This record gives sequence, structure tokens and C-alpha cells, in this order.
Amino acid sequence: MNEDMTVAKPLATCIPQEQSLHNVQLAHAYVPFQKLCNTFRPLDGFRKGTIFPELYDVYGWERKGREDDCDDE
Amino acid sequence: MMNRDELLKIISVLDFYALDLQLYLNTHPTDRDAIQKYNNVVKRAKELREEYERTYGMLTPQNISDSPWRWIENPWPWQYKFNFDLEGDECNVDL
Repeated sequence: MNEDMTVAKPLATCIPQEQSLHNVQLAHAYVPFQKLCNTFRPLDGFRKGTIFPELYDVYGWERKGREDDCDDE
Repeated sequence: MMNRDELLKIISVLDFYALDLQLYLNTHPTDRDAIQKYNNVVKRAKELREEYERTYGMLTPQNISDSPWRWIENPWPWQYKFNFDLEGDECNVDL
């Protein structure tokens, strides 16, 4: 039995939105801190290369098809 | 009883899941949900690894051995026929 059969949370809620950034510095990166949300089922995560949906497809490969077709950029 | 390929595939899949959670836990050591998920998957993978090794011999040589010592037996991970393909969904478990 899967103890934590939680209902999948909507992806949009998975990335904590910074309310406001104070004294933002030049040449500094601001990366939202990941909070565990949903995970792919193990075989899907294995195929996709990550178990975290919010980290998958960051570069939109799925939409552009699998091959490395950079010409349509 | 799963065959060798199915067992090997699900062990690899669960190990990957555990590894990704390890990376998450390295930066989120107090996330209880993540630790719970991690313990679930590690427990499952351990059970399946023991089942695999009872039937097909060692996956890693750091285990108690019967006689003869089977670590030297084929197949090896780099041998093509030892690998599985990712078709199908049968190893997609809910944790």
C-alpha cells in the first residue's frame, strides 16, 4: 500500500514565488529554493532523468521533439 | 516471481529515485516528507535486491557469499544482453 498517496499538487503551486527581493545586488543570481511537491512515478522519472516535475523540461525539449534541433531557435 | 530483467529494471529505477532524493535531501536535510519517501524507496529496493541476489547471484560483491563465489560469473553490466529496455510500464510502481 502506498502510505503517502497524496493527491498530486498543481505544478504552478510547486515553485515558491518570492514575494519581494530586498536590496537586489548586481551580478548575483536569485534562485527560488525548491520545496518537495510532487514526484514522477519511478519509471517515468528514470526515463525523464529527474523525479521532480518542476525540474523537468526546463528547456522545453519535449515540445521541440527529442532531436537536438537548434535551427528553429 | 519477476524474471531477471524485470527485477534488474525495477531495482535500477528505484535506485535512481533514491539517488535523486538523496540530492534533494543534501540541501533539505529537515524535509520529513522527503525522508519518508526516501525510506520507502530504499526499503523496496533492498527487498528486491535481496530477491535478485538469492536467485541470480551478487549485484555487488559486498555481500555474504555461499560457495562457490559467484561474483566472477557472467553476465556483466557492459554486456549488451545483460541490459533491459525501458519499454512498457510494468515497473512503474507507486511509492
